[in-house]
Amino acid sequence: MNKLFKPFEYIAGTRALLIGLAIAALSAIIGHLTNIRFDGVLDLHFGNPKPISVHLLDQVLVLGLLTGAFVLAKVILKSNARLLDIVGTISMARLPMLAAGVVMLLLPNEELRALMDKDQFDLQSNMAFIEEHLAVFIIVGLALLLLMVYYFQLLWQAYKTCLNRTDGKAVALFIGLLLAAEILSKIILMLLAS
Amino acid sequence: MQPPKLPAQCPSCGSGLHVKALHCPNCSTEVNGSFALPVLLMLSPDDQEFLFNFLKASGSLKEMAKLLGRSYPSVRNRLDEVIARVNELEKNLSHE
Repeated sequence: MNKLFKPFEYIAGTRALLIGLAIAALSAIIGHLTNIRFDGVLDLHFGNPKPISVHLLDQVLVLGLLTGAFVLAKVILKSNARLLDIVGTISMARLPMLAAGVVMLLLPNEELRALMDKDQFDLQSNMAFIEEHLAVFIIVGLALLLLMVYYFQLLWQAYKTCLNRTDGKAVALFIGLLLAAEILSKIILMLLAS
Repeated sequence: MQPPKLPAQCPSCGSGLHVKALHCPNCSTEVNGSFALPVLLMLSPDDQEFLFNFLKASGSLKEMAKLLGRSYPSVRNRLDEVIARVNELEKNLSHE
């Protein structure tokens, strides 16, 4: 159980980085095949079809921003954490996001997208669609919620293990820097899109 | 039966204990006095075992990680904890 919730007590450095890179590559492939964008530090989205290079760029962007946030925390907290451990644990902590992408495959994606693309939002037909797939929406929603909680747990464990700090200042920095990284990811994506 | 562990703190008030007598098991000579315990002996048995293994691993955190089946940063964090306790003990001793 400890290995599930505190994996970085046992795995870090090069091993974690190799696992993390495999997770990033798989996320890019799944994203390319299913049009799911892993483009947020804290979330993922449905998107239009994009070349695999865009999905790989999403991975680089998110891992880069998270690493930047942790390195900034390392400097502020005067920690002696190794960059290798930071990158390795962060990339491995993205495993629940990959799992969330797989779970989203359960949704009737094509029909859902067609519904979302309609010019006129027809509540009646939307309700009928939701009612028809209610069980799937509930299961996927619950699974996504649990995976997001697990993702935050792994990110916190990565932060805690690498920086060896759990005091109020460290917690505030963790929350603040994650939010800043998420906002920055949106700004960068908007700039890239334009 | 396990050999008795050396107590470092007074069970009554929590102050650091001193050694009052030393005994030679070979010739039964006894030395009496008041000798302060070295800082390393004032650490908990777990901390002492960690430092002993660290010494045997030539001070290599990577070797320690292999030995304990833990990751490098978690072993480094454990070492930081022991260092913090040593610093605290030294500070307390200098105040006494």
